Amino acid sequence: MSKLLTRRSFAGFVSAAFAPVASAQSALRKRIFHAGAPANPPAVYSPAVGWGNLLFLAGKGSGTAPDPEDIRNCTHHVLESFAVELKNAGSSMDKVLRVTVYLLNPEDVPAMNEVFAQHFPKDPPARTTIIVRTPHPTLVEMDLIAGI
Amino acid sequence: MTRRMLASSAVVIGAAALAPFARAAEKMRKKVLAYNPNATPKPPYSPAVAYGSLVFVSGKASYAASDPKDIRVCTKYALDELAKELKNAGSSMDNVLKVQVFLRNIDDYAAMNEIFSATFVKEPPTRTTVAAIIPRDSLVEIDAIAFI
Repeated sequence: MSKLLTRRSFAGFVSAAFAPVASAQSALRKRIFHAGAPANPPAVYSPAVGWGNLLFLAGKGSGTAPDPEDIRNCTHHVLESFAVELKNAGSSMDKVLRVTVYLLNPEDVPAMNEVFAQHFPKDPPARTTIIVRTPHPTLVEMDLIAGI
Repeated sequence: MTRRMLASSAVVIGAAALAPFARAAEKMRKKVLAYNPNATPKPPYSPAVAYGSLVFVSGKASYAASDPKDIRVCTKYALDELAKELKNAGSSMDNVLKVQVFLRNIDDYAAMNEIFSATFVKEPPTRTTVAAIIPRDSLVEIDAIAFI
């Protein structure tokens, strides 16, 4: 064979031609995770759902924080429980891609930001913050999407 | 083989080798979907957008429900609209990974939950629920991320 087409590159072309192509129909199934015991009666939603290399965490409020009236304590509590849920599903805080923050009081934004930065010190996720009312009394609630 | 024959066969083999990848790249373009493409007025957003095996469905609000003042009727309506959009995209309610629920009145939470849990019975998606002001005085709006 000439230098144009060596035996090795020919073999490369042929194997590339037969390389499988991922079909648009997904063979992946969703996986449910929960770091704590499963809720009884069963919860209306799942705390964590994984699919392929994505992990979705359900909204978590700060009603069970040690000091539910203190925004810093509340923010720590929510992010710490996320760290546990993420680890349980095989992810981690540095794989968080996008967070949504739901606050009761707009004045709490700077304090929430302070604590948020402590939990995401490097390459923080994308984020949207809004002021809303949540179903249970809570100073802050968050949800997120992470990579696995 | 002459050099010319080798060159042209290399081109043919190369094209055959790259064709599956070109098709895969084409499949990874975002696809705009709508179960009712002729809705008027045409919204400035897409009812659903698919990318690979993921589909993002825009919020379904309840202003057009048969009884727009009844939270249960409204919730059922929004979820039915979601199901239609998912079906049109080749997905389904079983494949929903994450839902966002927006309520006009936070006190409607329990009633909304009743209908929600009757719809997502097994392995429900992750969810965050907040109260917010929704266009056209809707009592509820629901959006979703699902896989195809």
